Amino acid sequence: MGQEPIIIPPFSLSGFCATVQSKHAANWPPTEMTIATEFVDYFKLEPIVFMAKLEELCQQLGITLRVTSLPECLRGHNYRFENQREILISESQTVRGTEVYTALHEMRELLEYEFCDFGIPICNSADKETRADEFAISVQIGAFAKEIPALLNQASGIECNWKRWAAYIALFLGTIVYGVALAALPLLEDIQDRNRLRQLRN
Amino acid sequence: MILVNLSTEILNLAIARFKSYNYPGMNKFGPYLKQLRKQKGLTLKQVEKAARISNSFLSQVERGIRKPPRPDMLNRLAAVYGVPVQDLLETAGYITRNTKERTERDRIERAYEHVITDPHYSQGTRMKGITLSLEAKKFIVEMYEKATNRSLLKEE
Repeated sequence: MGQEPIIIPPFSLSGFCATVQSKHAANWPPTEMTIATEFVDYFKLEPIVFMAKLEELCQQLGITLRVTSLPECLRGHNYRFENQREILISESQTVRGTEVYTALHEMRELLEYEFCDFGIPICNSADKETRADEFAISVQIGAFAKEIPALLNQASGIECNWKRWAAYIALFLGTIVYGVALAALPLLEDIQDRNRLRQLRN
Repeated sequence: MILVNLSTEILNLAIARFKSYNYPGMNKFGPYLKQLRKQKGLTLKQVEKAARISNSFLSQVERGIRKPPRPDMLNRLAAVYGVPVQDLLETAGYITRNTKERTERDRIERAYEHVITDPHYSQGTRMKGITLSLEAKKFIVEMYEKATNRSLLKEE
């Protein structure tokens, strides 16, 4: 008697991991940008990722996502035990917008547990945090980048010459500003936290 | 010549011994500091750079021939080694924690160790800085207790 086949539910973390595995087995382990791009496609994220959308997604995936009071040195926490999955985000985030970043960071760690279950871990304990940070930025950039061709298409439809070029330039600058802002967010957060700590000490 | 070398060696040992008698807690401080450095996989030069403390001084402290560094230096070392500064201060003999506080800390540390080694439980955090405070460890243990319905922090 053979082993019973494992049924992977379609819209789930394990379903996502199976998709990534099947598409990128030849180039394993995939980069965080690759996982992020797949994540955006698989879970159909909108160009700008908002907390509300992540809450909705977590609900669909059976993950409890809570913004709550956490000990001072924690920005976020996650755990998985049997069928329970929970993501906790600190309510005292020092920089606006970092809730999404933290939630995606924790989500990446939850994904890693699934990859481990499949026997194909991507991270080791040394690069776990760096990769989760990279994933958090990549998802947001990936979601926005996916929309750029459509925006370019819309811009190309503008008849007036100078308005069309203005739209191109605005799109170009907007993309750069958004990308830099996302990449700078964790750095800003560190600086703010250091200043806050210094003020508390004084 | 051999006799001169031997007597110098004995004299050095005697001086080191005499110095260590002068500072209570020093006998265990050096090896403890060395153990922390080895656990982090750091060289004395790397610690010198990160904590701004001379590597020759650190080496002497680790070998027990110099008294423990000042508290401000211990603070920097604690950050580099990722341990609570209280641990270094206590081992160096600067502070004495009462038994209750130590028991509580030990209980949390033991429970936390259990949580991170439980193969059926996975957890992760996004932290500020590199050191997990005792409060955070306690929180992680409490989350574990809630999820697994097990009690780890209950007083023995």
